[in-house]
Amino acid sequence: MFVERKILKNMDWTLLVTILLIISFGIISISSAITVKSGVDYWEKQILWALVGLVVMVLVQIFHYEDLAKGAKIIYVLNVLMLALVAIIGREAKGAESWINLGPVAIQPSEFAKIFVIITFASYLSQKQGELRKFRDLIPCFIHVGIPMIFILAQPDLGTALVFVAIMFGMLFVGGARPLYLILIIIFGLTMAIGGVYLHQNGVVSLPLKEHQLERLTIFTNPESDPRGAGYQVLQSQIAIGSGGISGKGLYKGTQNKYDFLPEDHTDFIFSVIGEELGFVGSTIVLGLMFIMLHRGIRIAAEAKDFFGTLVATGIVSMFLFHIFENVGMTVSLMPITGIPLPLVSYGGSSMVTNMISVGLLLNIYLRRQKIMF
Amino acid sequence: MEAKVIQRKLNIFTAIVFILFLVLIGRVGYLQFFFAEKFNLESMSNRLRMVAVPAARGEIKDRNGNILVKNKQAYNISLSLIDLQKEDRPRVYQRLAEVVGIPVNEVERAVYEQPVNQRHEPVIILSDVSFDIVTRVEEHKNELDGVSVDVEPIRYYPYGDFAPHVLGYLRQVGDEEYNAFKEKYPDEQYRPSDRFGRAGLEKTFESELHGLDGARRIEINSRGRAVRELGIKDPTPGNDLLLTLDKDVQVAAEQALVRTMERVQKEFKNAKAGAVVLIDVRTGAIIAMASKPGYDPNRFLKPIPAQEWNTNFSDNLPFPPLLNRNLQVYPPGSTFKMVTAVAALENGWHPEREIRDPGYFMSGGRAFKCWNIRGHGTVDLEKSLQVSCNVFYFNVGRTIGHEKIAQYARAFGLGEKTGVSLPSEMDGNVPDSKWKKEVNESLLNNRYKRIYQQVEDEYAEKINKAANPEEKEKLVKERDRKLANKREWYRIEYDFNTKWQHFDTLNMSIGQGNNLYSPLQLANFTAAIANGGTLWKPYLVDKIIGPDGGLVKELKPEVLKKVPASANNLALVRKGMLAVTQPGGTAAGIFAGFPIKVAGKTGTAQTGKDRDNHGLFVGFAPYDNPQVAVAAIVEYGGSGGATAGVISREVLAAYFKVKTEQKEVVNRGMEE
Repeated sequence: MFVERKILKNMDWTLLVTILLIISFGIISISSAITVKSGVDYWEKQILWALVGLVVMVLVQIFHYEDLAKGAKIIYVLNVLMLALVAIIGREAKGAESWINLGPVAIQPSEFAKIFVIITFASYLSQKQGELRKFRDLIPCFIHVGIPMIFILAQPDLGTALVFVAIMFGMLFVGGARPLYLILIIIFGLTMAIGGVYLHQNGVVSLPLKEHQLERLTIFTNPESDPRGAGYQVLQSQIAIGSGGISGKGLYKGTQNKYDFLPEDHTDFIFSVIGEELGFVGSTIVLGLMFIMLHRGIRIAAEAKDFFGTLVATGIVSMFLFHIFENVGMTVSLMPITGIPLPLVSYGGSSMVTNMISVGLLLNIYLRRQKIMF
Repeated sequence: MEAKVIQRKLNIFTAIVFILFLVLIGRVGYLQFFFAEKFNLESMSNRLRMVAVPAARGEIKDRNGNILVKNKQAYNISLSLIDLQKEDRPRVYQRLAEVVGIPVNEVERAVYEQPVNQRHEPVIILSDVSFDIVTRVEEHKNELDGVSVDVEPIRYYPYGDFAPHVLGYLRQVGDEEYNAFKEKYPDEQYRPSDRFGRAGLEKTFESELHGLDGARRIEINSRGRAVRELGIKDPTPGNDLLLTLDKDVQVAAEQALVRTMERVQKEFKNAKAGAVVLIDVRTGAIIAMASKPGYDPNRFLKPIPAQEWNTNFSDNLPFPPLLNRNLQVYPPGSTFKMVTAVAALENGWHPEREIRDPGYFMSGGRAFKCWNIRGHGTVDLEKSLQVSCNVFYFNVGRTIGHEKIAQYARAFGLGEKTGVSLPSEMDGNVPDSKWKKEVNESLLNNRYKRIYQQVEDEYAEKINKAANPEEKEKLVKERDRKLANKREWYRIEYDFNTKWQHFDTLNMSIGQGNNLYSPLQLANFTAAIANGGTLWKPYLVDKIIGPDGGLVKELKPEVLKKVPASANNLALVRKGMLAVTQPGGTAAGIFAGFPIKVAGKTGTAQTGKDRDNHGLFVGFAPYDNPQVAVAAIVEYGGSGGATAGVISREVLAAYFKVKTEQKEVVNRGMEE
């Protein structure tokens, strides 16, 4: 079995084992987080999603990732159409229209849109190889990422939109844009964002943001100012993690979690459950595994046989990095609350499948890293 | 691009990832290493709660141990919205409304009106429901998600509208009142949801009755639901009150009030309020204290809508039911004549001195009439009380002067609070020249200030509109003339109103005018005449009994003061009072055939031009060995004997357990 031997030999076993460990960690945490929730066994469903994800990941190995570059234009158009569809028939959840009902399951197209953008943008950048030195070369890039992003902002889903930004900058950096420009743009963007919010709050300008969005964005700077309202999640999350101490209160023994003081504890705030029940040790293990995953991703980018592969891997790593930093950051009051999940750990089907496709793509790129294969 | 360049960029990328992860781990470690203790405490305070276990409130019993106030278990129907899916709510509201038998909008309103800070707790839809409703709710339990039946101990007044003014009622206080209370009694354990005694003994003896709440230490979840109980501290029940009140006499007193008022309403349609009080002349113990209209204290356990309050309970009603009329003040009418009599005797008036009563008394060129326009003939002290002769007392008043009368009124405790342990006792007023000046001067000044201002305003407008200077000048002169005229009137009125006048003395000596005393003061003053001059402090609570049945406190009778009157003089007055109920006396008809010798005095207080008189009666019995004193009033009831006299007779009959004939007495609206 020539093919099988090749695959086994070229497989990135470290990455595979790492993500399996992360997923297991996630399922155990979810099983703790949902014991007080009635009716639904989220952790069993999450196992199901993980299995679906693994199947999808394997399926991703079948085709040559390079073929994706050829279909980039079609993917791009389909992506935009899909997001436009959400805008029209989307189902509302927590003030944002981001779901589409497909019979028994509801999917979140913005999750898949991230991968599509990574692929199409990688294709675009790989064609422009070396032609990103000037500032004006960056403008088409912004437009490329900006169009799908605007639909997501309109949902409104600021968190996912910011993931797009992170993906774009990661890919631009590796794709050849001048770091100075990128840094300047980031500084400029942050200044505009902070200044804009400041001026909005002081009534000078009016941003198209709903009140609850704005509160969620700014409350992390001072959660005590509204401990029962906007600051509640952050404070309770900090209490959970902090009270975990070095070794935690023990699995299934977190009182913040068990007595439901932690909101969204099986999805966005799953890391708080880990922090409370498993303490610094558990948190470090999870973050360590995450780091290994990203490190492997970067290695895959470096070893890819073509620039397209490098860029796709970079985009995926950038996406994971932003998700992890933002998600964990918000649980410890370092980052604003934007409601994006912790990859492979938080409960959620769309997120799990998307992340497994991403991992599958990384493995695909790694599998085909040698110029001559099959 | 060269592979070397990409590799370098990816190395930088790795470094960025590494740094960001260090930041995260650093932050997590910072919280978990340095703040573990602080956050641990916060997580404990999140989940641990002390839940008060209300102490059973003390019971109130009458002198024979009959329970007048107790506690009972109330069943509340409540709805927990947390356990109810949003889409199921309309269905459950509808079904619940049908099962308990109220309109569905009342269920919705209860949910809607739940205070925001209590939203994590179940909403009480109906409180204190019948057992029948409880059964129905239990039967339909499967259709009523989130609905539960809770048990709550509540105050219960088994006799309803019975002595409410003595017993009082409980009410939940508003935040403001709660904070004020908390400031006043920082050590008392009260929660904002507690019901406080707000009237009567429930209020005065709040701290005895309330007891000490216990506490349960429980673990809760974020919705405030108890998850686990960690410990309990038992509550200490409140103390019981053993009253001096006699339930049976009290019932008789209330019935007598209601019956008598209904009877006289045919002629005196405003005879709708009255009071009667019976006290022990040997101790000051209050045996019965009734006031009508009354109310059912049970009603106050639930919130009372403003509309209902205004129509049923407000103090702005013509006959406000919350007032304890035994503690309100009224002109005493002729019941005051004993004060004048004692003052006269103590100042050398001979008891056998006779006065001729032609039916009027001349003073300052005016005739002051006796109530009997034909006159009472020759009248001595005994007869003056028996027939209630005004002319006799006009003579006394002019002879001894009003200050002596005021002095004895005060000596008998009139015009000052008795100190009975009930809230809102009024003190009343003994009129004298100093008082007259104080009260009327400011009234007069205020009135004239307005009058002057009116003139000024009227002319200010006219002068403003004046067409030419001549007209203006004319108007200014006219205004000044008018003001000067008003000032002249002020001087005349000032002299008349602020200086003590002869007729003031005459009015005072027969208990009209500005004498204002409460029925309780009158009863106490009568008791002092009866017992030979001791003014006891009237009291209602005899013993305070602890939850274990042990005596906590016994409230001994207290002497307020001794009346500076000789035993002989008081005996003379008593003799006159006996004559009142004997043939020829103003209350002879009422007490004819009454098996016990009663001494008394009728009184009819003038209330103003177009209104009927208040009828009063004071008395004591038995004449030879006085045990109890009584005072009664029927507002706008006409003559004292036919109203208050009858009521007093019924109360005495109940106390002495004797039968009395239901005699109809003619009520001519004046002294009989």
